[in-house]
Amino acid sequence: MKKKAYKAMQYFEKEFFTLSNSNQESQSLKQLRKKEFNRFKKIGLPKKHWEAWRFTSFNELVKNSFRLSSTDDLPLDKNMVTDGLSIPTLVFLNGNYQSTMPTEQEGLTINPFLENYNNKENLLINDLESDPNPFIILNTAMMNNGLHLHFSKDFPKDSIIRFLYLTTELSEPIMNHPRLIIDLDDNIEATIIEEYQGNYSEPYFNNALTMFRCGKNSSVEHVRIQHEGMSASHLSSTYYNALQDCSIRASYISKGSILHRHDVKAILSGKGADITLNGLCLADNHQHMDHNIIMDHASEHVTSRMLFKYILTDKSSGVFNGRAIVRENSQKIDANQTNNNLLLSNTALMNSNPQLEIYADDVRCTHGSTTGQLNEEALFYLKSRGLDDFVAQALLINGFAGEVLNEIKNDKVRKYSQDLLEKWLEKI
Amino acid sequence: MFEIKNLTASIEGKAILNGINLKVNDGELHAIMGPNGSGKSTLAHIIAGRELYDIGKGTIIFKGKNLIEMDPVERALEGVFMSYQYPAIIPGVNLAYFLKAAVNAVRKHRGETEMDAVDFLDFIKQKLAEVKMDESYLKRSVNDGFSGGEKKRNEILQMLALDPSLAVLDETDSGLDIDAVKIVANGVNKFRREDRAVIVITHYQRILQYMSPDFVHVLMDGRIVRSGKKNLAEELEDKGYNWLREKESL
Repeated sequence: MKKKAYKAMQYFEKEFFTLSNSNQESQSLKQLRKKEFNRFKKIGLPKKHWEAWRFTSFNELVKNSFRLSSTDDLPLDKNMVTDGLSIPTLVFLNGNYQSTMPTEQEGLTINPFLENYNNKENLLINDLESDPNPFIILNTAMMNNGLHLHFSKDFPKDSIIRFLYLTTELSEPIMNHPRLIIDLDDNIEATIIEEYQGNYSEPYFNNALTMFRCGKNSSVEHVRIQHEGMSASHLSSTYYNALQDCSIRASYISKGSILHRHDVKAILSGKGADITLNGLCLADNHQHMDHNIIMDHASEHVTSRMLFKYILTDKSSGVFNGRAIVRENSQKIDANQTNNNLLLSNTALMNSNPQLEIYADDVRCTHGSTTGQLNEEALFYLKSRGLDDFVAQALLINGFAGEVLNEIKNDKVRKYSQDLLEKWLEKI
Repeated sequence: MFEIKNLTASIEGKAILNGINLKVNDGELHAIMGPNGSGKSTLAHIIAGRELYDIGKGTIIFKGKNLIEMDPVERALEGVFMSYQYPAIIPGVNLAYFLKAAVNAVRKHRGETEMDAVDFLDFIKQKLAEVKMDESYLKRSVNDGFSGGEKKRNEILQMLALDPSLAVLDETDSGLDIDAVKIVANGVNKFRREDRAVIVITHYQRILQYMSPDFVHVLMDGRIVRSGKKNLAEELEDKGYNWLREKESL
């Protein structure tokens, strides 16, 4: 093992030791953690020769030592949520779930499952367990927050709920391994916002896992907004399972953190299921933004769409790994995968790798990728109409990003995301 | 209001304009005709401020100021407008948003109050009607999926909305059917005013049938080789550019 990676393993071990000795968790949870931590130790951090991790650097994880967050990290002023999004919100403040904040919602039960964990809680989905993503294993071993949400038939249509992971001033670098499990019964419609916000410029580390298990004919809009502090490391995984006639539309807006890595596994397991994943990444300075998506067409007659757009400037870098798998018996599939990237500097770097893995013969799968700079002719056209350089560029960038942002159905959240883009444009 | 004196320009070392002289007074409409590759479009782009070209010598005076020293944004704000032969496509930017931003940029520059969304809609509806475009265009991305004729009408719409003093129309009639040519010509005629000037660059005299140019110039090999009245255009249509080429022993 390399020296640096060894150092990271040391603080993980130290924190794991503290975790396993300190709390009053059930024996079954302790056993689960121990098993997974041993697995993590064996596998270690991802290696450069692992194809899906080739361009992801862990320098930020090994040059700092992160302590697992505790209640000591709660700031004195807990009323930190002052943004314009006035929607029902569950807050995780420096890793601590603020159970006083959520409002009661009909048709929704919220269960912090770590407190009374027994083997019945289906934490580990088989599809994930076989996946050698060390950070998912680490999340299971060290999860310090666990929420299970169950949406049932009384949940009002068009309702919205937000999970806000907010990091504020800290005494030392902390890490969090939150896990969110979202179960939707059949015929449920819900809008779920997952937001990571950091009002803090020093390093911290979030390693989140969010799982969606969506029932038949359910409909979900999932908007994931990542605007962590600029020294944060944000590694996360999202898992979707879509049953028959289920429709999932996800939009990922990512602009924070020095290291952003998001692994997504979406399984279309029921006939008629439809999943759309859209992403917009905004990176400047030395930021690195990395998406690794697997779209698994595990049933016949399913449709999927991926549209990922990156806007990179300065010395930032981006990776798009998109993989569409069509299994042998999954006929009549319609799958589309698009990655478009805009480089605003000569030193920004993009790696785009759309892949198709098709084992069925009666399918329609398309993929495409473009990377380029702002169109000079379009820029001149706008300037020759009296729009100054900043406005002209902003207009073109807005037009480019709009294809992703305009897909967000909820008006408040779309506006909120557009504002984040505007602020970013003013900064760069 | 507008005068080009002895202008030369080149691109990548290749001379394109070899000493252009042109004077346009308030209220006048000038047509510049010429064969392919004579430098017509280059001249239009240089007036608008495209940075692709190396300006050699000469001046372009507009309302007493040298345009060459101004960037394209300043030129537009001061009242120079160019209608493009191939207007750029701007995906994701709707026409209403773009037009409102451009109109307000000009108004702000002139010290006028900027228009709000309601006033702007009233204003632009009138302009749309003048070029026979309906309101649905406002919600579409600029020139995205527009036909050739729609793009050209959109250029004329912008000219009418931006209220420039000098409009340079680069081959605005090319590729249009006869109805669209009439709409474009009609837009130009509505635009004409005592304090505004128009330069129409064209291959053919067809569009000039629907306008009354005060002067017609022929551009060949980067120079204006002949200037005359409207009948020069008709003569060219009859005899072709080679006639003039032989006559001028070029």
